[in-house]
Amino acid sequence: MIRRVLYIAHNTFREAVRDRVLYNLVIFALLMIGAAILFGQISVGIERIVIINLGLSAMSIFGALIAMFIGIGLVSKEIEKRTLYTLLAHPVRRWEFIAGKFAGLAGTLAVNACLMGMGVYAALWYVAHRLTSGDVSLLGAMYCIVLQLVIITAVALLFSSFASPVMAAVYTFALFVIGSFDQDLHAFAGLAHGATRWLAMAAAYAVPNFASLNFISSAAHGIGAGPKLLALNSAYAAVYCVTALAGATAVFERRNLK
Amino acid sequence: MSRVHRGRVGIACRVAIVLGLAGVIVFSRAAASAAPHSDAENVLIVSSPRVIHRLCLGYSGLIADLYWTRAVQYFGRTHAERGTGYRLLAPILTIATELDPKLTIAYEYGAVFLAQKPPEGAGEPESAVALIRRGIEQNPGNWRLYYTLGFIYGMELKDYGSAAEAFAQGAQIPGAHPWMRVLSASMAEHGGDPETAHYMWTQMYQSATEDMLRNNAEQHLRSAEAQVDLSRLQHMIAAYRAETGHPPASLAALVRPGYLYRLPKDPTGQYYRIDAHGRATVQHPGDFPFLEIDEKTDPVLAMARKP
Amino acid sequence: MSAAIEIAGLSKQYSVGFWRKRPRIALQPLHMEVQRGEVFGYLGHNGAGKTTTLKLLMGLIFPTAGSARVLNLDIGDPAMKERIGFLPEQPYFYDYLTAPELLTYFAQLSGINAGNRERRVRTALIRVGLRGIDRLQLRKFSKGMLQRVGLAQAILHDPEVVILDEPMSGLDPIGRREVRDLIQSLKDDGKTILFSTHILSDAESLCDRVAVLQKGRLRVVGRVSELTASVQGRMEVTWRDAPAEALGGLAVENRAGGDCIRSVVLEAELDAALQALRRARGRLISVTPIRRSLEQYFLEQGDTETNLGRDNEPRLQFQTSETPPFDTERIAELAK
Repeated sequence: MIRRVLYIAHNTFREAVRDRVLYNLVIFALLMIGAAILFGQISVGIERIVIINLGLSAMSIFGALIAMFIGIGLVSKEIEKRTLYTLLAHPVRRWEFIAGKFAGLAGTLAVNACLMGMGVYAALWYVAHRLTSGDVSLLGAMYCIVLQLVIITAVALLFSSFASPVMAAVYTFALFVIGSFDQDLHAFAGLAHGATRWLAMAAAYAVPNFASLNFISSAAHGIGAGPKLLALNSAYAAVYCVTALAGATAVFERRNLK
Repeated sequence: MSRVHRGRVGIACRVAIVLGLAGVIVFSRAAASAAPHSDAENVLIVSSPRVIHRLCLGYSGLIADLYWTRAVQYFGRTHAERGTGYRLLAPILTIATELDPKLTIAYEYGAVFLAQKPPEGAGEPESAVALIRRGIEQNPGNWRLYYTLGFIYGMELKDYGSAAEAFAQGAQIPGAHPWMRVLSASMAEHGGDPETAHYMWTQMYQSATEDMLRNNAEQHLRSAEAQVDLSRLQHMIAAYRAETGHPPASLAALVRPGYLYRLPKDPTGQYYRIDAHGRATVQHPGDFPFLEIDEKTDPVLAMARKP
Repeated sequence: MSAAIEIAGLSKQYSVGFWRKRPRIALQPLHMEVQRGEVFGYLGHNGAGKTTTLKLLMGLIFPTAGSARVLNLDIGDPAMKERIGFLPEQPYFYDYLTAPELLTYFAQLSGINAGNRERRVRTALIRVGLRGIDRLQLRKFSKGMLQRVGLAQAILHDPEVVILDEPMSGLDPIGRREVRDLIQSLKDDGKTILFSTHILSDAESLCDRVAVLQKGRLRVVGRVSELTASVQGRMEVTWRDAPAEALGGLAVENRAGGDCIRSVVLEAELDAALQALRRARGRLISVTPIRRSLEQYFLEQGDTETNLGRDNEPRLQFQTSETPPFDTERIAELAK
């Protein structure tokens, strides 16, 4: 059972890697090298901050795009190309397929983020010629970016389980944007009254809270998220993913693969 | 899949969704409360309006509204926490109005609350004037902005000349309310009078389009009325003490000797009372945020200072 | 021992239309059995419901009503899938894998233990005639090669029942022959094979029994010979060096082209026609059976509904280009 999930995850990872997904690292590397050289020369005292802001933002944006577009293709592409028919003709349950696909892409994104993280540290080393203890706090921020990406993947899977690929992309992107403003959504809900307030609150909680997973700017100033916050955010991401995947499975389990 | 198997998976999924949604709420709240509280992080993010303008990709109106809501939210939260530092109010309002220069409510509201003394405002009348002047530049046809400007000059900065000028300028604009002229005249002649202040707050109360502004004006009016009542009561307490040699135990003690016909009520309908220091006060000071006790002229305090 | 596949009232209905949902019946309640060790042909036009039936059996779509058992296991039982192999119609696989990688992946999912995987993958690839493609990614495979990969994955885990959806489509004549041989060898191994096709001749040469499906309804189940007995077969005899009247009244139709004359005769009168030709000292060039098609079968059943071939669907061909034009064995036999 878990083995089959892992096999599917491994295959998803391999497929993604061979589909040149990791090529985004090249662009990322160029960005880091360029920024390091440029700001290393200008050196106005903020080169460290610029590298961190730029590096982590790029990590987040590239990752989000990969998570969205590949995440949506994960299920719909298999149906469209009918690769799923042969897969499900083997003793694979549909929920195992969903879980395996999710794990595979989450793994791809984690590896991608790890490599990018190394790039950020390399660039920091280049501009400052040393790493400070404050730089350790970057790890927490990077970890939270990975959590964001994993949530996006789960959401993309959920949408692609019932919507067409294009619409699923639109929905996922919309949710990504809204989720980045989730605190404002909570604020709006707080201003409303009665039923509106309840509805707005429900919406605010249903939308993934990407804002609270974003520590990029505080990391740039050497302020990390504490272990308690990291643990809570991990739990949040885990619960959110499980919920989204359960939804995706509930839909997919009943779907006729015409 | 067999129906039995599918049924089981379906039930498991539903249970997972329900538990998951509950978990999402729990952890979302826990994480939010564990997060370091940084207003700058929450409401500002980018501090330069021009940069934001570029980042908005043409959706500046929407983002302006967002910032405006954030300003209201920020003010409300800080106020609720009885905080005194509204240091971000001016920058947020600047961003909101820079993104959408026609957002007149932001100028009006912002100026009033920027100007008021803490804890009811940021206590920054100068930046309030600067904000409203920028608003006038962008919206020269809006007489209400002149009204707000004159109001801040008159009520907060006590600069009655500038206030009269602002009202007069606003009165020139077609469609301006006729009492703008009245305000200009009374500012020039009776700038510091309590009656003028009362009149101005009444006008503000009657003409405000926004709940928060109207409530604010109502609180001012209420506080002013209570202040007059309390001032009278203080004098009575001082007189009673001079006559009997001891302070009154309660306001009821003032009724029997004939100082009062009956127990007086404040504008919210609550009875006034005497506090631990022997001074007249209101039941709920929270309802009267603009109540000011002038310590120099207060007869009770003056008596207490006497050996 | 129970039948390999038992279908009891399986039916499928879709609702189509956006605003007003109308039911579209893809499969009428179907009752059918496939015995163990049998090669069973499932015939019908495109859109007759063949693929629907096979997808229902594989759990890719869910029946509106009815049930089915494969090897005495309910079709939803995951254990069932370990014992059957399935080739979907026009299979397609992951672009960036090689054939051995793909088969290894499927072997993992089928629970073949690590020690046997490699050997099984090799055997399956050889069995479907794929060699020397170990490093080629599947996106570079031709349609026929993909079909072979699909067959390989269907037999990889040595299943007891093999279900093939249009296994011969997209293959050249040699490929078709190889698939026939493969099915034959699976039968010799004692497997049960259910395959669908819209070409009668494919079924004729292989199947123990066939079922004919038309517009979602099962028309007939029986031996191929029973099915085709009612259809009056015809032969085309081509000869030269004799006058066109040589066959006399035996020829239903005569055509002259170049030096040759082609005559259509009834199958039952073929021997008489050949004797007549020999008497007239004509030189026999070829004898070609004119294939009976499903269309003809239905026509001869006198079914008014059999106005087959909706315009958007490929019609059953009277003589498909995919069937070899010469039945060499028969000619040799007759020419003696």
